[in-house]
Amino acid sequence: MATKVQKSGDSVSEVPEVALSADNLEEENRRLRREVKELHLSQRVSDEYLSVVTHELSTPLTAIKAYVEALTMHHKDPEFTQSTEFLRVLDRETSRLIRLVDRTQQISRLTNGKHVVRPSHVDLQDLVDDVTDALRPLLEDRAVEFLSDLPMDMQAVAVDRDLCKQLLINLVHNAIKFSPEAGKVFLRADVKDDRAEITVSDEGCGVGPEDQQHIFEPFFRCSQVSTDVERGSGLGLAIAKTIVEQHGGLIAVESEVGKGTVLRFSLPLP
Amino acid sequence: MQKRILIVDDDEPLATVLTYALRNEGLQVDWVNDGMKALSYLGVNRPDLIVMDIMMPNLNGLETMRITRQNELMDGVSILALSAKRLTDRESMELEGLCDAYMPKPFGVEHLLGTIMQLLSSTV
Repeated sequence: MATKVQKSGDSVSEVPEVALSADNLEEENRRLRREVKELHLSQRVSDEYLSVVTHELSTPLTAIKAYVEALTMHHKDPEFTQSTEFLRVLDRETSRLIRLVDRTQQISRLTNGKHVVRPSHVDLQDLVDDVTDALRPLLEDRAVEFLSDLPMDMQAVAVDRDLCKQLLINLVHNAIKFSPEAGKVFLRADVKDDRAEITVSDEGCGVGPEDQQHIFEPFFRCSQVSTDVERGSGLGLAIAKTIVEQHGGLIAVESEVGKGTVLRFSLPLP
Repeated sequence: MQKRILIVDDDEPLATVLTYALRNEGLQVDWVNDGMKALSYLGVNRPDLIVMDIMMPNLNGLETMRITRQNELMDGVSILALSAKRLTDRESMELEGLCDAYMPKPFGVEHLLGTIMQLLSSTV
């Protein structure tokens, strides 16, 4: 096309247009290449996510299948005395599977914007009291003390109550789980840059620098963790991060192995 | 003589039912829930077969197998690897050189028992 334009005197005026079209095409090509690259990346992220979800579902499923097989094979055997115990495990493992599916759906709804955040004025002390009530059995079981320090001048935060209750439950639950027996978990709030800055800290085993980079990723598990700690869904912190982000904030981790962990995030004030 | 199996898996419910199923077959079974504890166990015990999960905290199954295979005292010990994780090509290749059989999770216990019995019959 460029050759034809050079040969024709009448077409001189077309030159800038053709040149512009060529530029446009080049720009369009670059845009399309970028889009293809982004789609490949997003496909890879989806594949990896699917692979992790499959792994997490396979673990309880393997146990469930094994218990069902054992019960089917032996339940009529008079010497088989473990029926009740095996049924209890089956109940626990199916609940774990249901919890995992619920949480996976929840994180998907939150990240796809399908869950509408409905902020209202929420009394922070009320919220903390609710969290304490919800976690009381775990606090008593682990003999851990949960203490809060809220400033007198901060009456309320402008948040979605249900989501923020879950956010605090996830963070405090994690802190209790990794606390030593008779340890202390603190929730502190302060006003910073016109937002409520909240920290949840524990005196637990801490998180290494390498693990800190991945701690908010779905299904991530710290490499150095006691096998005595009950295995969770691996989604608690990922959901917490999404909830904080839905409220226009950021969440960060500070930790030292053997000393404890602090999770810091902010929420909007009214 | 009663054959001895070591289960290395951090999933307690699964380890419990596998222990039950294997003892039912007349096998002696021990269980540890991570790779570090497996290495401590193998420092003083020599099982006939190890059932090894791949994804575990502290020391994963691949690393544990790598160290175990370097221990001459463990020559002839069969390893059956289990994993719920989809393995990369590189992991699969490495696993092939480290274990005698591999079963992806979820699996049926009957299938697992069959594989274990087959591996045990080939051990000295």
